Amino acid sequence: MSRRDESSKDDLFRLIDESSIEDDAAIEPEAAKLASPASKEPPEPLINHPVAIVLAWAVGLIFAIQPLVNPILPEHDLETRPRLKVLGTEMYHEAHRIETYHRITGRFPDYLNEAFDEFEISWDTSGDLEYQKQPNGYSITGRLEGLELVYRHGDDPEVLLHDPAIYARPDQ
Amino acid sequence: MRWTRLDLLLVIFPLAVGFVITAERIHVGYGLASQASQVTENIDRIANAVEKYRANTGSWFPPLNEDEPRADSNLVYLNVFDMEAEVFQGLLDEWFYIENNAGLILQLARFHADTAPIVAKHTFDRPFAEGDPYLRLMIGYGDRMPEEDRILSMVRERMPAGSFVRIDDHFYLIDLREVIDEST
Repeated sequence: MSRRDESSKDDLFRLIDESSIEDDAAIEPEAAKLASPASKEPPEPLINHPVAIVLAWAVGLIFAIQPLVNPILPEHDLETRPRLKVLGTEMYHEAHRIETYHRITGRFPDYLNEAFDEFEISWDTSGDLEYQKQPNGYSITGRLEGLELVYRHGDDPEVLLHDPAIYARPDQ
Repeated sequence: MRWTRLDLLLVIFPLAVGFVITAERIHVGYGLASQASQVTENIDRIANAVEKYRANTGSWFPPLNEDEPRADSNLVYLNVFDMEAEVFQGLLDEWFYIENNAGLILQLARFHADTAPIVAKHTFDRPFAEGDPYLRLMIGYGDRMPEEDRILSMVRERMPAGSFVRIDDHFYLIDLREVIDEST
């Protein structure tokens, strides 16, 4: 090999060595950057609009508490009349519904769990009354503190409103 | 900044709940107001018929049939307990049916001095004369009581001042004379 060839060869090797050093030097900062925690991008937050969320919950809460603050169906007042007269009124109400059932269907109900589905009427008593179908009609019995109020089909219903004590007898 | 999924969920959820609750309240309120309007219309029809009868005959009501076994029952119309009773001219039974009055019992009654103690001569501001007309309104005792109570309150708001008297929480009277005077 001539001296020029050897010189070229040396130059070539020197270039190769220098380029590898440069590559290492170039790679090293990138590697160093990746290895450093400070160089990582921060993770994406779960919430970006906290003000909007707070406002939405405030508005939703205002609407949600309306049934409590301003109920459509308010609480019922306490009853102030004598309980016997209250019972008489309730029995009148029940008898009126039974007679209405009779008007619509032509018969008296066998029991009071049936609802006037067609007319959206139900047997809405407080549960203090007992209904019994009779051969000639029906009877309604209300009980109160040892007394029994009995109304039968054909009796004067106005008595239930005005003076229900007339139909009262000791509870047996 | 872009909206995350949690952002959207936490914004949409409370607004949706508030919207649903409000929509339901509007729906319920509209239903109750509609029923109250129907009851009020029936009351107005009854008042007009009674006034017309009086204009034509000079009397609020037909003469009482004293031969009836229960004279008191003649004081009330529509008397479901005696459906064979004579029809009062100008009045339609449908105006009194409970299914047409949101479940309320609506009855036309004539004042009779012996009918006390529920209705006395001075129940209303204007003293009753024998045979004067009034209405009876009764609400039920079961699950529908709050709705009927609310409907009755709405009806009361539409009646002339002083025409409503509360006997108890389930029993109210309306001075039909005031309703007639208001409409004429």
